[in-house]
Amino acid sequence: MGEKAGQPAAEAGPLAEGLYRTLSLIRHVERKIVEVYASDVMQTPVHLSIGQEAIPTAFCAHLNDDDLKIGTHRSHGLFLANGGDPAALLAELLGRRTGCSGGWGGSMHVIDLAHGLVGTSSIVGGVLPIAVGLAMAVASPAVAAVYFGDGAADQGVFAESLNFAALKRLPVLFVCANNRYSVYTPAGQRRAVPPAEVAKAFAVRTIEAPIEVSSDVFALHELLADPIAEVRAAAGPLMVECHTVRALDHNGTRDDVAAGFRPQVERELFEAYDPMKVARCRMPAEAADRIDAENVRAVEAAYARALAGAETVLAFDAPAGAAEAGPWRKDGAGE
Amino acid sequence: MSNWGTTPTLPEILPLGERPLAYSQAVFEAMETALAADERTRLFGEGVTDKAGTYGTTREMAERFGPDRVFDVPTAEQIITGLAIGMSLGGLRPIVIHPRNDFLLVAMDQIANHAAKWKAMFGGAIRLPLTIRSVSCRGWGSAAQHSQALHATMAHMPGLMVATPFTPGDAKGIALWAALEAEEPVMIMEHKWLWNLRGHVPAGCGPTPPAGPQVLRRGDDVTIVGISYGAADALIAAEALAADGIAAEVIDLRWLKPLDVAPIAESVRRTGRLVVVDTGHVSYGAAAEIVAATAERVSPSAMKAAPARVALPDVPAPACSEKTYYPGPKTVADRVRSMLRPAGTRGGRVTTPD
Repeated sequence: MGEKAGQPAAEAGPLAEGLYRTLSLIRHVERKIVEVYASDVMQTPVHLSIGQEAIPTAFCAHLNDDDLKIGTHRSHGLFLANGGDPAALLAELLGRRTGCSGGWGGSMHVIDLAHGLVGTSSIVGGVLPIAVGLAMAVASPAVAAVYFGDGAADQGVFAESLNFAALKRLPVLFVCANNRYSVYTPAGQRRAVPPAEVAKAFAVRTIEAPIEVSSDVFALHELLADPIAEVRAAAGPLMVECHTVRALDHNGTRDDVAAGFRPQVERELFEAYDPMKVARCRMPAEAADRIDAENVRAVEAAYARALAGAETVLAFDAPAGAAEAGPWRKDGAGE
Repeated sequence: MSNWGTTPTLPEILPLGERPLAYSQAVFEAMETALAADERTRLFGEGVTDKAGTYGTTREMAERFGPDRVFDVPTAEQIITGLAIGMSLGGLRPIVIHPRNDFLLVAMDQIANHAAKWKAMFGGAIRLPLTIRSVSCRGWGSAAQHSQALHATMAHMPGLMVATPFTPGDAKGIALWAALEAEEPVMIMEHKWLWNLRGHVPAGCGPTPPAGPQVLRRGDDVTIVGISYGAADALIAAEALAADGIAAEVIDLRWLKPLDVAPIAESVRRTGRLVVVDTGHVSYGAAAEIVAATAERVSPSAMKAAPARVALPDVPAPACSEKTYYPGPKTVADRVRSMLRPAGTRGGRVTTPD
């Protein structure tokens, strides 16, 4: 495997096929969302990861079920790369009781405890200190991992989290997918230095993956192997800043570049560094086609299963009874 | 009464029983017992391991239970609180301390957006046992940012349990329950003016699950509900009123959430009069919630006077004039007397500094 994208290499065998299968699954699930979204069958905001799929795919391949993970609102890729059931994700977006969060979370709040995903938050940076706490709870050699964007790194708690993880040498893997936009606001209007520089200031070991690497699932996977093993071996936290590109809108399925919300160069970046294209260039076409076809069938089956789930209909006490009801209450109505 | 310092010495207003303990000592015992009873407990917060040991409630805990379980933290309230949430999601039972209520507001994203919502947001798939202790610290010119009592702000958030323990027995029992048995985030809102209050704490005092308000003193003329230190003002006022032949029933609220208002409504049906004494601000506060929830359950015909709130004015606390800013037993007693005046005179207006 090469370290730099564009290097011709034949990726074959179970590891390469496994990585491509995950990458392709995320893409096909999100394409399914794009396909049905206009019909309003999914009444939840969706923050798609098309263009960024290689990042969760590569780092989750190094993680186990006893590693604890947490993410943000843009976590479909994290959920799926971590081994989550596509039907549970789609059911959540459809508001079904069978959704991974029972319909309460929608697209921004997914959970999969069986695989160590303890949840995701739409207050973006809010998950960073929680990840540090997860690292204090796991038993070595397990680690904690947080998957977030550059917008999350804008929040001050990013610095607090890096500081404490470094101070206590905690096994935290900070994985930042830097797509340079917080909604439509570019990094140049928000940041004095990139997130990686903040991590370095706290003496956190930092890896910067340029878009050539972050879009190449095989290269990124290889790049992360030793550093993640070292986090397991009590080397302290690791920050990985992956430069990437968001293909579609911040929220929803619109082409926001075409609509004039981001510049044309973003479209060109995606065309050049679409992780699916990059991976396919490096795989035997037969294997890629076969895996894609299998994923198309798997996603159709998952969507059918998700649609068959019971809708979540809840009953609530009148507001006057709220305080007496206790901290949180879920009625069994509709079950 | 010389109440003007950071921790006043209160008169003996609670039954002392065979094992009287100061409030701060009761909290100390809860911390000690929780750490000894369950390996999963952790204790941390700003100053937890320093010589003062969080007003004495965590003193020498790090030495006894080790620096992995009891540790100090940066002055960074978001990481402190987020750390606790992550530990909880990872299977531990953290106790985090924010030594002053005011700093809870810095941690509010973690408390309100994360801890409070995590269970509901994932359909109940995950539990989040978490104890957050915080102390309200009025007095000695603490001014606006070192004196707040924010229990009502916390209780507004679905997903948080909020206790305002008043007796030393509750201070210990509630903290033990939160630390060892609760499956939800529990906010324990302590009050520094209660530190020296003595009361009976049984030798075998264990975890006390949420319970309704408790009657501290019986009476048929007026129901006075005290929240946190407000219960002390209420008890002292009741003693003064008794000298005038007025029998006040004093109820300690104990839990803002879950709230059991039935015992208060039952008392008010009998007395026909309600005063709520709170340590927070009067506007949109806990006293308003108690008055409203009681009014929903008591027939207007049972009321002999309009209900009253005795709470802080809608002004940030001044360093210079605390004696006029804070209501005290006299404010409470005066309010009750005004309610008992012959018909035609007005009772039940919002308290303002006299």
